[in-house]
Amino acid sequence: MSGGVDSSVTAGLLVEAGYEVIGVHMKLHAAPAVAAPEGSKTCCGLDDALDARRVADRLGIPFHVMDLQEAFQKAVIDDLVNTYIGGATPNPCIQCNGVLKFRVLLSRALALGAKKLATGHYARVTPEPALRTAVDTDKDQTYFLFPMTPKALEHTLFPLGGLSKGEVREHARRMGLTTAEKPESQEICFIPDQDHTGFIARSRPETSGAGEIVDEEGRVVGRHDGYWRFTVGQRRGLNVSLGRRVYVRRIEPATRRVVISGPDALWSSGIDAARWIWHERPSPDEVVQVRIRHQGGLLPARIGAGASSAITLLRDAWAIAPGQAVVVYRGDRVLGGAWIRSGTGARRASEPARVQRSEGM
Amino acid sequence: MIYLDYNATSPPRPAALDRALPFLTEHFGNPSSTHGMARGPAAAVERARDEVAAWCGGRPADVIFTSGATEANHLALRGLPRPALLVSAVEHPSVLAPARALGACVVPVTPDGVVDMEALAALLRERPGGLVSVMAANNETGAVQPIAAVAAAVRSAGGLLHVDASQLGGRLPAPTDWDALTVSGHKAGGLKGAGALVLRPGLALAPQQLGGSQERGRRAGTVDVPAVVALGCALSLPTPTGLAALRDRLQRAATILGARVTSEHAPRLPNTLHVTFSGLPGEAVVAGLDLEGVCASTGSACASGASEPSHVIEAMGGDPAAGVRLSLGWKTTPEEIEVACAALSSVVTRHREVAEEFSWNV
Repeated sequence: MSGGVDSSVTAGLLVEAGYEVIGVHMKLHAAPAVAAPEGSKTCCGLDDALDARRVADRLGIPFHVMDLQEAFQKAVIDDLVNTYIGGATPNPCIQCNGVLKFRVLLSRALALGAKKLATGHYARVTPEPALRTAVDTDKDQTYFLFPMTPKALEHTLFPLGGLSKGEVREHARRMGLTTAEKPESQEICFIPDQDHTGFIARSRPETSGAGEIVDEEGRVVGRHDGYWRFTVGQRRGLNVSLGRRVYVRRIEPATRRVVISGPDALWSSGIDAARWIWHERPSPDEVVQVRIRHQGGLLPARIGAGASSAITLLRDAWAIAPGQAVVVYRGDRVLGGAWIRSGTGARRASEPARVQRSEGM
Repeated sequence: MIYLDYNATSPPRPAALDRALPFLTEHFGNPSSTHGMARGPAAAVERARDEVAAWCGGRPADVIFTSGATEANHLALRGLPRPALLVSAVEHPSVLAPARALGACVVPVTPDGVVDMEALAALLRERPGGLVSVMAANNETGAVQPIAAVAAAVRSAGGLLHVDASQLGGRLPAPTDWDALTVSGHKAGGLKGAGALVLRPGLALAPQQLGGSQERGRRAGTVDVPAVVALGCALSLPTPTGLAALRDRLQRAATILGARVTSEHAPRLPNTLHVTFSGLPGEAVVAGLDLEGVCASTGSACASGASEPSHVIEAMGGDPAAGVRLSLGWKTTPEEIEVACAALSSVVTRHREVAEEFSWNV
């Protein structure tokens, strides 16, 4: 129970369905001792813990706060900083939802004697067990949840998977929960100002990311004050005027160089991904769909045999960002996923001379 | 529900509640008024004053009623003369926090959580005449401090000794040698909302709360009559017997499960057991016990309700996240202790089984 409307309604629906429900709030980072100003969009702070407790009291269920700061630091914060410093774009929401909640929190819940861990995610679990997309596809969160193992799925309930956000707020009002009108939590909850660059500078003051901006021929066209400011496909913040539109094509942490190019070179026809988690592995012939960013579109693809599971995209994708996840779907079912190392292959229609066959990283 | 969290608060003793209740109903008067409705409440407050003084060996005129032990601690630290201030590392936060604000020197403790007497003597030599604040017994570990020895050291350095005796009421007799003593009502079986600071006769105190002549001008504000009456009554009741035997039964059960007993080699409150299970967060054990109907504590909680890493265990060199505190009191029965032993066993065993099955730590 984060203190938001989704997990509040989750608990309420389960109580109404007759479950014996235990409310748990994760304490993830040291919150300031004072309450946040009215209307501020925090997550997992003191006010949220107190909101969650009020909802639990209203529902008449036991409530416990679990201090998972150490696990959150390792799984989410350290991962974020290390991934940026490694020249890639981290996804803290996958680390927090897929890893922290359904490994660490789940094992703590089972240790309490609970049979299931229920959360307010917009996703569904069916008995196979299979992870499936939410009925409200705009709210679907399966992209964050793919690291859940089959064993985790067996112990999971997603009561909101069949509801829209509007219906969830309606339930919250009907149940008289104080969290009914609470705003959505922000993107990276532990970086209140969303300034991840400043956060990295504060976390690793000894590491400098400043370096050169170079074009594809290796000509220095500018300088930047930290390569972790950039992600593949980014235009903003480059501050170079070459008389044409340029984008970040590649980040080279060893030399601290940011390589830019025109938009054409950012197309890929494949993906090299690592640390695969399979719920069900498709055959190399099957056309599956892949998603390469949260709430991004689905792209038809084939997954190669062999350990590397090389992905061939049947429709080219633009700006594939290392560090993000690729999640594989068959219809509404999540088959598995992995972390992207790089896009591979040129745009089929582009000039082969200008673009290398494999970028590698 | 089996209640084993007496160090957080005790259920009121029935006699204390009986004596307090009329002051919530027909005898509602303000004891500072001069009319007939004030007389009953005023007399009751004075009787409570006598009882508190009798419990700790002070004079009734030197008992200052406060809203609780936290206020009494603040009043002592801020109101007593202090050319220097020394506090032990395991004091309650209501001593440590104001002490830090006043620039106090922190006296270390031994691995058993007892004040390091050599360190205290050395620190006092550098700070003659200093005010020393040491608790009579620790709320988390139950370790009883050597107050007589501390008092001797303070005397020889020409200093003053404040003793926070919040955990002693209803458990052990009060220490005899002190300059100021903090007393808690609800921990001793009274009601929440009353405590007292007792002073040695003749000691000067600067009031910290102004605006009324209550408590001889040393603490302004209308006295919480029912809570003060209950405090006096609770301290005058006989101390429950047999707590140490029940605690030892619980301790054996915990040790069989592999627990380490905190402050094992120090004298401890008869009602307190603090243990750690290796690799098992205290809050997980406490949550598990709660679901089994047993109320326990990690000993320290933050505003969100999470367990705060314990500064007490940290000062003793232990794992500040691993502790579980079980504290007994006047209502605890042998049957309850048997149920609690079984609950502790099932909670700890289940945690270990799950930890083995899901090796999922990040």
